[in-house]
Amino acid sequence: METFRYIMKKLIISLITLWVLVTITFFLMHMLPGDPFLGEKAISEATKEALYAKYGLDKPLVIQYLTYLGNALRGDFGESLVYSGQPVMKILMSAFPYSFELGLYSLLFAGLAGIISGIFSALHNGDKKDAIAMFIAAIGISVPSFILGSLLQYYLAIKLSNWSAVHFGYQLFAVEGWENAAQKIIPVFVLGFGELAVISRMTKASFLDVIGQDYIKTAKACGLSKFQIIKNHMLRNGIMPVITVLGPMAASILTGAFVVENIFNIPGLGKHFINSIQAQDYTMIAGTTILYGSFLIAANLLVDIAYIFIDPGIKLGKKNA
Amino acid sequence: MEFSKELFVKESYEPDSQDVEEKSITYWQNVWIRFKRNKMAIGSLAIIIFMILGCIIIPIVSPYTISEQNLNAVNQGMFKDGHIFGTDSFGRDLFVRVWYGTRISLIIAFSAVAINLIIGVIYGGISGYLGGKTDEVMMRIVDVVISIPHLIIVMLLMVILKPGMVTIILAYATVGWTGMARVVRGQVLHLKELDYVVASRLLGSGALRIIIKDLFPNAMGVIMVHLALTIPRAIFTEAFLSYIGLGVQIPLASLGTLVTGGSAAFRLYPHVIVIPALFMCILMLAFNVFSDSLRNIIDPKMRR
Repeated sequence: METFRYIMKKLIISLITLWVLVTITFFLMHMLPGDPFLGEKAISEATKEALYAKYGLDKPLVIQYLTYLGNALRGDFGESLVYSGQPVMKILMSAFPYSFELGLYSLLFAGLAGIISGIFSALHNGDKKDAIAMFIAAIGISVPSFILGSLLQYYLAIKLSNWSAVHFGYQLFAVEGWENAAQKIIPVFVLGFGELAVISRMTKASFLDVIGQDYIKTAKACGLSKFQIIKNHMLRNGIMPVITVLGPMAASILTGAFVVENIFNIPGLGKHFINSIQAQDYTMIAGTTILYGSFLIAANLLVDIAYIFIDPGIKLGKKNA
Repeated sequence: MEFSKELFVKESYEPDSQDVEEKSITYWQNVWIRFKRNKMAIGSLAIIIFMILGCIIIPIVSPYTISEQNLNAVNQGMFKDGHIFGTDSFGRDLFVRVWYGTRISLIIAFSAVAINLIIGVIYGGISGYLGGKTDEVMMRIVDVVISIPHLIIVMLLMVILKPGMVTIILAYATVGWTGMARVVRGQVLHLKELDYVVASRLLGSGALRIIIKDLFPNAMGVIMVHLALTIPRAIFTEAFLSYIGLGVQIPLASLGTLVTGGSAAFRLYPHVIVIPALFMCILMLAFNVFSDSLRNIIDPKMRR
């Protein structure tokens, strides 16, 4: 019962958040100066009125808002202003698989490498190896992805790959695109590196807690091997707090993807978003914002719900205290 | 065995040395003592102070200005003709521009964080102090604002408002205060039940006096940690906005716009991007290490 109430509460907050997001987006877009039909050739009053009527712009603001809300519920965000005649949703859906694949690979890379380096750090707590691992983590958090992306693209994808092409007749990495492994490795690494650092620090803190527990001493006293202890006793308990960062991480991977997709010319959502901002394609900006928002809100909700099932000890309703 | 007289020396009696009491130190003196022992903390603080002083002084004393173009000396390498970091594709001195950019980035970060601090402390303070229904409603509002992806809202605001320094600060402040509000509210909820606050209330202190005199000073440590944590985030947000073309506009330049601008000429003249990028990474690294150490010193329980 308590669980059910907790989930309902989270669900309602998520729905309200979504509604606030759509509302903010609508009114911000409405506040924009200018007229949507101003850019075209000089049009007569009659044509203008007909256009206004077609898009419902002659109606009062409240009606427009309700219409937008209703359309958004059905996934209809209107047509792109730049690619005329193309529905925003269609463009977004064609771009989504690229972003999803990029995000997923990065998350997997960051998760695996981060947990391993975090455990390594925790086992060597306080010595040189730990200091090196944690320093790399600090760099990962401090270097913005557009810097790392530009540098790696230049030094690995251009310099090193040209060198390997000349000497071995094999080009190691590609400069841009998203079709084969040579193209995918660097973007995934760039996007995952910052998250790797976050996961690694989180894992370390959590494992240090676990290492001090009595049951680990018991396991050691029973003569279990180091590997067995890590695998059977530490991993399950140590990994739990790491799950809490997955929600915020989805957000930073998405926004990081804007940059990475732009640098490596990957035709995903982020590239469309940045293009639409630079081209002032307002329906597209609004649609992308709402899609991103809903995705992140859903991700946070899932993490919240997953967490109570993984850790029954969590105190429901008192998470904010 | 013989006992000579020399073996027995009379101990001079000093009443002072019997004193068991230590000189009492305040909370912040204690923090400072522990801070001084931490090499990483001192190192990062030194870098931050160096950067702040540099970005104030160097643009003033340098013979070049940030927007002065010299088309006869375009894309110069490092250490040529008095240009320590060379020049960019318009012949502008990179050394001055990088320090000036650091200044703009720091101004944006500090102002944004200061506004967050003010809103967050007031909001969180009221919510935590009043408690009950008010707290419940106010925190649900925070829940909603916190779930809206910050960067996306900041970007939306930047699309609508005219891009510029003040806009970036305002856009960041509209969504950035929630974290601080939560932290302050948690502290106030915890502190207001402690005996000394109850005593203060019994002695007739009003709400305002309790908040300012009793609660705020004790919540200060946690607030400082949170402040230090948000500064690198604000720097990053500014750089990110610059990257997608919503940053400060010419003739101003921030570290973010310098890196972005440098990426055009990057393949021919790597120093144009590498130097501002390096400045930015060092700044972020210093703030991150500083806030981490501060957190470990002030609140070891928060280490997660």
